[in-house]
Amino acid sequence: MMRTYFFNTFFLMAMISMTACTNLKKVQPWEKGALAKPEMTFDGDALDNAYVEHTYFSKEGSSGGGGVGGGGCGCN
Amino acid sequence: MRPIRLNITLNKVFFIFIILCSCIVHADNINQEAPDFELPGKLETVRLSDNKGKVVYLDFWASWCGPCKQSFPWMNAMQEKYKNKGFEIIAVNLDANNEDAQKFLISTLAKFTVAFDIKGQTPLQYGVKGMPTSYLIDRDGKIVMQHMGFNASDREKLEQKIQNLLVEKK
Amino acid sequence: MTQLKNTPPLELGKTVLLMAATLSLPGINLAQAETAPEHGIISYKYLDYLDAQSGVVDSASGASSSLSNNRVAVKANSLALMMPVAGEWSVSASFVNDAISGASPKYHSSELTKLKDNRNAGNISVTRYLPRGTVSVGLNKSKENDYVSKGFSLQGTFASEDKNTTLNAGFALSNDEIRVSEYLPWEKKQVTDWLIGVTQVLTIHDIAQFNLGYSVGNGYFSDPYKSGENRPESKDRTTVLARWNHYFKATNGASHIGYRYYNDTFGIVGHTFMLEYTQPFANGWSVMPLTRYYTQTAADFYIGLDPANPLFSEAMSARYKSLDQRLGEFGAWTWGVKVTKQLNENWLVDFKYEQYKQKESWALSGNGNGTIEPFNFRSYQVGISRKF
Repeated sequence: MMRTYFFNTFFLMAMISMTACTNLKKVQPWEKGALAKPEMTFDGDALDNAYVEHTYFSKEGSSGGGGVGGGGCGCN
Repeated sequence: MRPIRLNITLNKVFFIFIILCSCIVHADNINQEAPDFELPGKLETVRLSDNKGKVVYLDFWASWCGPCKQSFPWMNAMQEKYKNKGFEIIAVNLDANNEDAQKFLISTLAKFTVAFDIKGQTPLQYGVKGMPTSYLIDRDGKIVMQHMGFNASDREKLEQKIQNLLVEKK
Repeated sequence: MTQLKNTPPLELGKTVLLMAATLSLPGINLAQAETAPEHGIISYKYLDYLDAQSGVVDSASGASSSLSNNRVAVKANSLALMMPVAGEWSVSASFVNDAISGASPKYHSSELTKLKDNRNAGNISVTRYLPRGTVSVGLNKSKENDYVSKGFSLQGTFASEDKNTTLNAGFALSNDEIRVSEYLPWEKKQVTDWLIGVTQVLTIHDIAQFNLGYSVGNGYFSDPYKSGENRPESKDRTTVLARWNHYFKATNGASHIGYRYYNDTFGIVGHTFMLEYTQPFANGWSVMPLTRYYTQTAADFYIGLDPANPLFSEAMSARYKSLDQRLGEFGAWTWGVKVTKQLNENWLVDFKYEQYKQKESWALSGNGNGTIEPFNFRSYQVGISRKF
């Protein structure tokens, strides 16, 4: 079944990434200058994201993935 | 209404979480001797051991760290207020690029000792877990407190600890 | 592990609930921000959206031919406020108003019907910052003449001691009411969302995120403005989102790569690929080109046949059916650019332009049958924000 297949893939990817992480050099708190830049976060511009997500939600079959909630609308 | 059906393989995800959680180890160095260091400063070499007999507030910071910047005016005030009581603030900068630190210090005043550790050796010795992290070191050179982060609500708590340590008889 | 594998689904639901609770719950997208904000932010953004689809049969309104190309126009204004409270808390609130006008097709790309609506939506959330994580609680409401949605959400993050690994989890409930006709009672819809994820610092220049989402919906899922439509009374969704941000030391720029897998019990499988690159320049300027490809398969009950096709009436006799092109098979490309300018330490302005094109023949599986004309939109945003 398609769904099981994807859950398994996800599991596998997570396991691989974890194994990989343990082999990576640990990033120290004082080495996070680049990661602290706003463009390196996953948050982005909230109002921009809200407009874009709302637009795609009303024109496409897929939605969600980044967070929960946000509320429905009569646009789909 | 149908019951919530969750795929059985969600268990696997659950396990990932458990494993990740178990990676979390705890260690601190309270009541241990503060490791000595010798680092370049703004003008001269900064040594922790030069401050024996003083209460030292050792702060690890970087130019890109927001709460670090927030702590500067407070550290200026603390240094000013308690310098006659044998209190010394040493702020160790950890920028990998020293230029960033120098630029920061032009726009943000630091009226206390600043040292530079480009290679990040001292924070490793002290076990710094976040930015900023500060340590209070008593007159005997022992670490008595470790504090991570800095926000408005920390000021009073930290000052109280400094005061207590300054009046402590030895 | 084997033992847990045999756990009945109900027990699993409890396990996940318990897990969510133990993990000091879910994050609004706060995957990395474990420390309380030092400043408040107030921001405003304007959106101008216009879509177009050529070759539509404009039978219902008999309006001028200019309307047959340009369809729906949306002008939206939104305002958001985030402020730190007492060092370890923050409160966020946002409000949006959309004014929608134009015409929308009753089936496929045909039979345009005029529409005009106004939507007001708002949300408020409170976040508590803990040494190792965050907990947020939020309420939201959205209101149109014919649609009201009320929701609650709970989110949290939990970081490893070195803060290189952050777990996030979220839960949301939404209760919607839909006006189907003036003469009938309002229909209802309930949606429950679950999300768990992990954000991992990979190197000093790389960070990645995996999110797994599951949603259960019951109630009225049809679009009351479509002809000959009856969608199932339940829809469950699964999403897997993988994102990776990379910093380029040489250019001081950052790339964002993302992929989202989606499937639902309507039978839609969607794949979304996202790519962005932000390049900062002198004097506070920064430019971000972006592109996105999206493709989906059709819902099981979607009827893509032309009404003139002899098989059409047979297909229409099925219990569940829809002629809504959004449930059909297609592919879509977005191209855009966002320009931001940091005016000084506190003020930021931004502008974004996006162009979108949706075509049956761009579907990854490539067997759209060409009933639908390509659909396009363009949108621009203008925003300003201030730190305080």
